[in-house]
Amino acid sequence: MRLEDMGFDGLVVDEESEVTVDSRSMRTSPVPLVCSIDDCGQEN
Amino acid sequence: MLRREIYVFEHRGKFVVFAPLKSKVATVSRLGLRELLKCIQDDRRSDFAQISDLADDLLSPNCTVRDRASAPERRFHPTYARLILTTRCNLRCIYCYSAAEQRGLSMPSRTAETAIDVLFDNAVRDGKESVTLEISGGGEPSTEWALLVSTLRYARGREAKTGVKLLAKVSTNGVLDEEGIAWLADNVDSVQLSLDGFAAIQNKQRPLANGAPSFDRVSRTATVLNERKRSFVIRTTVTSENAHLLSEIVDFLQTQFDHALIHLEPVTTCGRCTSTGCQTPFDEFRASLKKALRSAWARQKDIYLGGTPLTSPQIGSCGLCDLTVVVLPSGEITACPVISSFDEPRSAAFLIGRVGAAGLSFDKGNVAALASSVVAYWEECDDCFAKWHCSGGCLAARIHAEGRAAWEARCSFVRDVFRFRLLALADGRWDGGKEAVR
Repeated sequence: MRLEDMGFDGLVVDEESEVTVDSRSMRTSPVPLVCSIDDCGQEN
Repeated sequence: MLRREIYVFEHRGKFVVFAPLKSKVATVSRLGLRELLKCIQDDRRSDFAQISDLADDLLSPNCTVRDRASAPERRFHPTYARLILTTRCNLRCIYCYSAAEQRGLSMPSRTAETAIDVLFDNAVRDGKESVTLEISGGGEPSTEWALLVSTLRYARGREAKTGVKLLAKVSTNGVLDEEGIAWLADNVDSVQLSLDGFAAIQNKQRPLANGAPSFDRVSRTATVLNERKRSFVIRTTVTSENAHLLSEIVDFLQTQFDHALIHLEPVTTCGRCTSTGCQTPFDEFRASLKKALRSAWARQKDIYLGGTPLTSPQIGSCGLCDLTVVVLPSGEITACPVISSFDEPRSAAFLIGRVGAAGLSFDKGNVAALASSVVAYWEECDDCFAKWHCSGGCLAARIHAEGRAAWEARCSFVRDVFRFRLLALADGRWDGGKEAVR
């Protein structure tokens, strides 16, 4: 689901909870195929 | 008003946050997600620096999307063309989308040359470094060998004259003689051949026109390309004959032909499928593909399946993203190689132009309609996390799907495989598939 549609109700945490983050990037093309619909139009 | 493109999945007691336009996934704890929500929904900093940094990162996407009303008209100067040189074929595949026959229509060489001229002229005018010429589809291009060779030589001549690099791609059924294999290996940048797995499956699904088996011929072509250490693509069409054996088939192909990228696709239920009843069982495909992917990843390999690679986001499927020019033997230009007759309204929209003596002429109305037919504006895909990568899926398949349920089965399958890849990347079980660049 979209993050902005989530509520806080399902995210009850206790005092001993920790914050952990592990982020990873997806492989992207050397030249972005799409910068925006606007930019794509300019490219084509 | 377009909404923020950030999605979340609960996964193994944590949460995976996916920002498709940032090309990023992040696994966060429950408290981490709560803090992230505060940052994004309430627009305030978290007490945890790593969460604020993540929020900043996710909220600064690499791509921006305008709503339809403010999107400008796209220019149409194609530098990528696919030429369908002939609808003649020496095989009788049971699922052939074009139902190619021995007596087919072939393209006049002048038509091919005119299209090539336009690609290079566009590249020179727009300062592009390369053009792509793909020869595939309709029938088997090697049945018009002289035309295939002369077309590629003409394109190489334009490359030499303009300094614009040519990327030449040829898709073949692989039933070639030794000389033909060597020529392709020496003169084509990317070769794709079709091989559906083990001999019994290949021979049943892709027999020669006289009914004889094709496996040994195609396997020989793959062997030569592999021995020459050429990167090439093996396209395997998944049907009820091979869906349950994908793990074994991919193991076999990746072991025998270690320079090949394996590309799996379901059938599009048109052409000869309508008489043979050939279909893809998506539930079987899904389970078997996941097993095959785990096995491939363990070998540091990947499997290509349209709509699922974790690459840059796309706004339109297939050639519709960049409006690839697909030239038919008749000189008509279609936006999709699967759609080559334009008798009914849905397919008529794909007829975007024609090659004539004076060059290429385009139907501006159809070009504009297709250019604006991008997934960002499709209401039915609005809340789908996979839409920037499946790009709304194959429009030809959507047209040919027999009813809503048939399309939903395909859509659900692609979404599930994409999610499987995402979660594997988030878990660190897979590196994201550096190999699978088509």
